[in-house]
Amino acid sequence: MTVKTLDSAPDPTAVGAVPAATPGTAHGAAPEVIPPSGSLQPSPARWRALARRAAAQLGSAILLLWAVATIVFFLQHMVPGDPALAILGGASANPPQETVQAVREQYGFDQPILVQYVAFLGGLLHLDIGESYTMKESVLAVIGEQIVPTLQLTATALLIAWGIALALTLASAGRSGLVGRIGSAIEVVFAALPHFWLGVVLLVVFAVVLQWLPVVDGGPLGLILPSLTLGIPLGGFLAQVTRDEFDAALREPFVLSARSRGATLHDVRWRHVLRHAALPGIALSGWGLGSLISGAVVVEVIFSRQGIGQVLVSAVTAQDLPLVVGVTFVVALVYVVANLLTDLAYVAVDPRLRTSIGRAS
Amino acid sequence: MTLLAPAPDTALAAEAPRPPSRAARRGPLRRPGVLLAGGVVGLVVLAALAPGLLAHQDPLEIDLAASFDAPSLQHPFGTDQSGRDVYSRVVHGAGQSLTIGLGATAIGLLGALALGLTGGLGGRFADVAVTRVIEVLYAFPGILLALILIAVYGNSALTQMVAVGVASMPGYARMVRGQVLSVKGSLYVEAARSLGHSPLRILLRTILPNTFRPLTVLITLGIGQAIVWAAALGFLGMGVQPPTAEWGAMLNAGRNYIQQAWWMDFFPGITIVLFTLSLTVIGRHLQRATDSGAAR
Amino acid sequence: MRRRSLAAAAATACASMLLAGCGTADPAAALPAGTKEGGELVYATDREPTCLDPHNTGDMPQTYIARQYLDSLVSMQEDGSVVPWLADSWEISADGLTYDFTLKEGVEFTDGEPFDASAVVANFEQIMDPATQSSTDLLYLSPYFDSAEAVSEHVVRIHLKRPYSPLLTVLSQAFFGMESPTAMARGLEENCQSPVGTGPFIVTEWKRGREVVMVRNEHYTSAPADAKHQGPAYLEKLTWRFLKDNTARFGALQSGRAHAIFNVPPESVPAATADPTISTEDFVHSGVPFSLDLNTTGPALSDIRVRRAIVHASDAPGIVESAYAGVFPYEGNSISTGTPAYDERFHEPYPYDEAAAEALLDEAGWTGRDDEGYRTKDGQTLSLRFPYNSDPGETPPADLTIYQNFQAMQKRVGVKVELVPTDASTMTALKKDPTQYDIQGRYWNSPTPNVMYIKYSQETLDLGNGQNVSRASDEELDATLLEAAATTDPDQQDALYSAAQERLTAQAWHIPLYPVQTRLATRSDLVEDIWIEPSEGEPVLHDAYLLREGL
Repeated sequence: MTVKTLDSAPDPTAVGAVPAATPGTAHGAAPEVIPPSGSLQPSPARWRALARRAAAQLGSAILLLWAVATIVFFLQHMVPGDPALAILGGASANPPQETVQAVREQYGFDQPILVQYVAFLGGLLHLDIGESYTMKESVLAVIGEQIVPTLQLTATALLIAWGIALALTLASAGRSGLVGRIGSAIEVVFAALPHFWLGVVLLVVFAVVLQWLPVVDGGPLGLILPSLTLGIPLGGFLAQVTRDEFDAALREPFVLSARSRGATLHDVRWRHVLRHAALPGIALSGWGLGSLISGAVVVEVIFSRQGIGQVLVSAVTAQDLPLVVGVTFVVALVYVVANLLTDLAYVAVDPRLRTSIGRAS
Repeated sequence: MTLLAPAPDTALAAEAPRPPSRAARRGPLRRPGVLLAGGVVGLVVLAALAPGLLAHQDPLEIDLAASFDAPSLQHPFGTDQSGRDVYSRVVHGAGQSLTIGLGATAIGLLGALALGLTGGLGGRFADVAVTRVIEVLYAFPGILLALILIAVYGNSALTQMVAVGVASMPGYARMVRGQVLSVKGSLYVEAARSLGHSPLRILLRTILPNTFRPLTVLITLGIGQAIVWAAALGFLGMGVQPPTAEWGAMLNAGRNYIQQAWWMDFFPGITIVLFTLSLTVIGRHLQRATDSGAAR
Repeated sequence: MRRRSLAAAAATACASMLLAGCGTADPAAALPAGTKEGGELVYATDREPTCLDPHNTGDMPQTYIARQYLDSLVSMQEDGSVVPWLADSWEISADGLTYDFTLKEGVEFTDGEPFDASAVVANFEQIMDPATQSSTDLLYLSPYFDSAEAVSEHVVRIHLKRPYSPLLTVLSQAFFGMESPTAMARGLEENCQSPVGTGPFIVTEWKRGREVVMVRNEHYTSAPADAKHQGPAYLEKLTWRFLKDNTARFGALQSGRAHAIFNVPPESVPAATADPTISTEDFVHSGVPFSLDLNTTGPALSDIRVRRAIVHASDAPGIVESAYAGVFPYEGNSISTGTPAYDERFHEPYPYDEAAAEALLDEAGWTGRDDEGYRTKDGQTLSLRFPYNSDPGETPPADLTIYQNFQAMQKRVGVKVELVPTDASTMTALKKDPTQYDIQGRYWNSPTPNVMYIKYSQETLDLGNGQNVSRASDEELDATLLEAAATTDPDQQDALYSAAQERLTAQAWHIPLYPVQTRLATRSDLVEDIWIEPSEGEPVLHDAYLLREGL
């Protein structure tokens, strides 16, 4: 297994790019998932190993969700203000004291915080996140409705990001001189564009001045500007990673051997090197999807889009604890699932894994 | 490893074994891009330290007769809805934004050091615990943390600093931990140990400096990103109190007038873009320089 | 008991009912040729109500939407007179203490309950019930209202504690819309979510944070006498969407995703004017203008000289002009231009005068200066806390600009104003704790000048929702306003209300800035006949029809 190792060698551009997360994935995992076992039919021992691994993953996922929920619970309880007021109508409500007291008792706000915490965990065990204080609807229903536009947005943005990364890499990576320099410069600029500024500029230019696209729109046309806003910076970032990897791969021995076997340079770039170069990018995509959800908060505000980001902002300010927990859960879940998908994509693309399996068959 | 364990980053790693490029071997003075970037960063730092040198108008003084004036010689970046000079506000905002950026990075690093050193040096159990903590922080939406902190402690520069700092902590922590682990196993440490140096001395003289060296690049970039995140919070209306000149808050206010006064958003925004871009360019240059230094 | 003739109003009602076949004819018959009956209208507005039952709380977004599904007893016209609505006629006793309303017959709530005298009684009882948490309605009624009684199936009698000449005008607001007793009995929470009235539309769904969906009431027979047609609405469906972002809301109108938007942001007015497909209609609210209320219990602001100095230093006309781009006029009186008995002598009572402000502050003893140049007295800086709701939907950008301009103007005379962005629940808590603020921005839309009593009387000080954030009242003012409520003679009313305006102006409890205005913009190529009723500026969609299907 030759995948690069490297706890010690982080990608600088990844660091703050999105504080929420950084590539958490797959390299080390890949060989365990499908070791070059010499057979396409997994042995019983392998099944057992896989099952163990799945159980361990499930365990750590649950642990992670528990920790996230606990943090949210205690953080949200530090927010000043009375949650009973939030339940009773928020800003302009003027409930009589008895009503407030009744709500406090009903929701157990008068109990010690640890008792409330236990009750909260009990609810989670039954997958009962409860009813949103402000929306008066089940949290799952609210999220179920709002997650769809956010997923549409982030998925489109991820596609755009990959489109940009591949186009830039193929057009300019591994080339010396002006082309390479321009490509590299575009990537750096793209990666440095903050969502809030890019979004506003795109909005003004294409929707307000040129009027090519609607300012606000729930349909596919309205998806273009928001997903570009989210996708362009990530695209620049992925392109940097892919280019670096592409440059490195061009120097790998397999390029020489492929050339000596008569493959054209074009062939090598497209079939061998690109596949190799895409690996770290794919590894980063899982993280990228998570980071896109954080970015979606800003983009949804700019374009007045429905979505989980808008919900999160209003839930936090309205002290809607069940909703905050629900959204946090979903984001954590997206993180888990995205990493799982990354694992799979990684295996599908890694040429070394494929060759080893291919040779054996 | 498990699925959720923080996996290694890739890009820098990919670069490590690479021979230094010709460009990197050239000094910074011969690279116009780096020079330009240095100039931009220098200007922003100057604006932060002595805004009066760059802008002569009071960033808070209103002039009701001159609201929404387009960029002109008198107001190079135009005026805002109260007739305040946008250029002065951008210049005076540099201090606030830079303070938040530096403060957040410092907070993120300090937390990361505590976590990373504990994980790297504290033995197996501590390492597992730290790994888990980092993992949870990763899965936790950074923006949520920031929003809650602001809800708890109110809008202020300090809250923004802490919020962004804590959100960037897991990224740094993982690198610190990895770096500590690799330095710990290195020849330096073995050599120091065989010389009979105390563990504290080894920590302070050997492990910390060697951990920090590769982090300098990250810090450069991290400051820019911290500023962007603080500005994003300001943009969401979670920023500092009006009428303070702060880039994020200016962006937030300008968004409402985007159809009639584009300059209110454009100039603070382009300033942030240029500044972070310059930090990136410098960071990448430093990175190449470090790599080529290592290769020599 | 004196009978008041309703001949004129009744005649109008009859005529329009006859024209429309008294609500039984096919509504489409009345539409101009080539137009479309039915369809869905999307109406986008800035603020979302916290409860769809307007008896609860009583904030403007509630009355705007409630007009679509609730009917009131009477309807107010632009000249201030009222015409029949759910009440066909009424009689007022000579002492002004008893009102007998004769109700329209054959009207049903949309849940099938009959609308009768006992339903009206149930509405008044629900409003007065503390569990309803009424603020606006309670403040209008409680100084005067005694009880309601069902005299017969279709006659309801209201007993007052004191004469209340503006009562009919007050009841015309959708805040006093009639709701089904069965629906109200479900409790506040459910009634907030899906109130039931007799109105032209029926609330079917409220997706919080997004929209309220309404469908046509096919059996609607109770349009007010001044409606453009009787019978069911032309529209089949009404979607009431919440888009608090100004750019997005105006963008929705431009793209045709919304047929009409309520509150065109002032910064979009030039674009709206330039667009031939967009027509706008302005409505200037009567009542108390948007003002900066000064908390008179504070150490500095309890001194009338300091309050007057602050008003003098504000350049209120200038800061309104710049923040609202000349779209909103300035108003310095305690009530707005359109309010009955408005006295223009108090339009600009405290002209911008820095020197006068400085002199007053010196006189009040704020003569020292601190390091930052702010005035001090006995070592204390003259510093005023000004919390405002940080939600941009509640504090629109133009108001925030006004606050900042005000802050900068005060700084010039050495008064420090600290703007504190505050979340909604803290703002609520603030109302009950005058030690936590010195200034707050406030307005009170109302069809009657008697609103001055509601806002500033000793009696209403602790009622409702803490609207009197100045925490000020004055016996002389109270007496003047009660006298005005007791008389029906218009000249006497004018004189008394004028005296009240003078008194309020002299006290400088607040800095009036602009009359609250709402601006409805419609796509004139898509929809016709949305109108604004005059009591609270509620948009009326019962008469609206689509010209062609929206995009």
